[in-house]
Amino acid sequence: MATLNGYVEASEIIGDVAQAIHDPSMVLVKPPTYMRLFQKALGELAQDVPFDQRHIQIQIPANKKVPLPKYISGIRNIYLYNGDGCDINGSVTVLIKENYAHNGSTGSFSNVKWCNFGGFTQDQLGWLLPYRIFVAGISEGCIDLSPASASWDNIRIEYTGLGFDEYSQDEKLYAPMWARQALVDRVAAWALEIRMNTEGKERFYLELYKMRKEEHDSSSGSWMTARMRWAMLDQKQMQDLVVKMTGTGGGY
Amino acid sequence: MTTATTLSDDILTTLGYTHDDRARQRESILFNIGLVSSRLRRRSIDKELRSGKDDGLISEATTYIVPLFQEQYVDDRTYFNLPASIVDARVNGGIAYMRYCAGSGCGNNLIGKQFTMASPNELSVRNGMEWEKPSPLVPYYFKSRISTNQGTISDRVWLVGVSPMLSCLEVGLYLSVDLSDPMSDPDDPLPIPDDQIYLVKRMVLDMERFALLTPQQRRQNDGRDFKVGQQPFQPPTTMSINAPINIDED
Repeated sequence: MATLNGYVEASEIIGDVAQAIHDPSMVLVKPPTYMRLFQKALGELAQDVPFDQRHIQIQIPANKKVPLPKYISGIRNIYLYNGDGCDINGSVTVLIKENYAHNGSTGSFSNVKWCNFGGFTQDQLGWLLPYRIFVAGISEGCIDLSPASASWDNIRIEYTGLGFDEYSQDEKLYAPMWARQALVDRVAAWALEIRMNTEGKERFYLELYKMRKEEHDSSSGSWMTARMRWAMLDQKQMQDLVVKMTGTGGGY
Repeated sequence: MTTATTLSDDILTTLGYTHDDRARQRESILFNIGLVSSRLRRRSIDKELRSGKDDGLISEATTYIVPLFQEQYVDDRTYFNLPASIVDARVNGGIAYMRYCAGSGCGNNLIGKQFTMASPNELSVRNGMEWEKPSPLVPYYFKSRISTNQGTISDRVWLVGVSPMLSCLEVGLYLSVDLSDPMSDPDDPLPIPDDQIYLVKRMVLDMERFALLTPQQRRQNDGRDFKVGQQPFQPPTTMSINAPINIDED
């Protein structure tokens, strides 16, 4: 994960957009609409660039069905552990098993059963099953943990957020510094669509729209530039890789 | 500063209406000045609002603190009465801005927050959008008439999303020019920019020319007062939307 601690408020982006589309008083595209478009762009950015890393740590319910957060968009890892957050007493990772689901009882549905010979690859592996395998499936907004996880108290799920915690007007939204122009261009293109729909497709605004859209679509546009900046954020990560490659001759 | 009296006197003189039994009186000219000024005012306000450079326009607005009320006929919806007649600008309904003000009973976090114009139909759509649904943080307004026991009331502005505890608001209004209003003083400066006085004069002169020609045309059409070989005056042409007067930079 890249180091990142620089954010600006949503009003910085929206103010920039309003001026860029010749609507400085926000009378042609309405202020709440700008806010919604910004939130939409931020969500897209968080999908393309995992700058918003989050995790939850909760106690595993008795039925082994762990509810997922409402705005979760990509799980990076799942751990089971004992102890509390301050004193983690060992942890293991959980593997996702496709089509695995249960209703809280000990039985479960799965594409691969031990005596059912459903999937060849996994079944072959089954004979050489590694020590301590914990599996889970995802259904109906919950992670269904297998009965083998009964010896663990807590679960930690690491995931990619969508750039916001709650989807509500009370929340303040922030934009990462390295993606300011990308967000301005993205929101401006959408706002220009609205402006052209309400004010008529004047040639000038159509040109502006094309320019802003190009910034998102083009491989050298601001959206891709933001992704590149994200990739360049951690110099240390790159240096560590160089040390590993040169010091270990390719390493492991 | 040019007043309506100055301008009407000038137009009367230009047209030769200097005698006592003139066909057109000052009141008629003032009425026409009001019509033309309102039209120019609405047009220039709309144009500036959509131009991307409207910061100079706010000098045309007048600020009021308006008290709020609830109308029981429409679910106690909050409203205020417009303190004056306003232009019907397309993008904001003639309301330059509307915002929460200190001392209105709103939370400190709301002071200065702006209201947005949206029709009731539009609001029903926005209700389904979390970031746009009406709330004290995202308040809306719209103008509409209401028919009550006391007759139709036409000067109301309705508020959506605000708390019923709110007592007043700060509003900036673009006032219209209504010289037919007996309360308006023709000796006050005309409430339009000086550089548009030329346009007002020219448009009023056009209207007066038309008024002058009408009786002559009628008599000529009757066959009276029409000498052999006399060519009738041509009525003034309808003003093209591409006439310079309509495509200037105002």
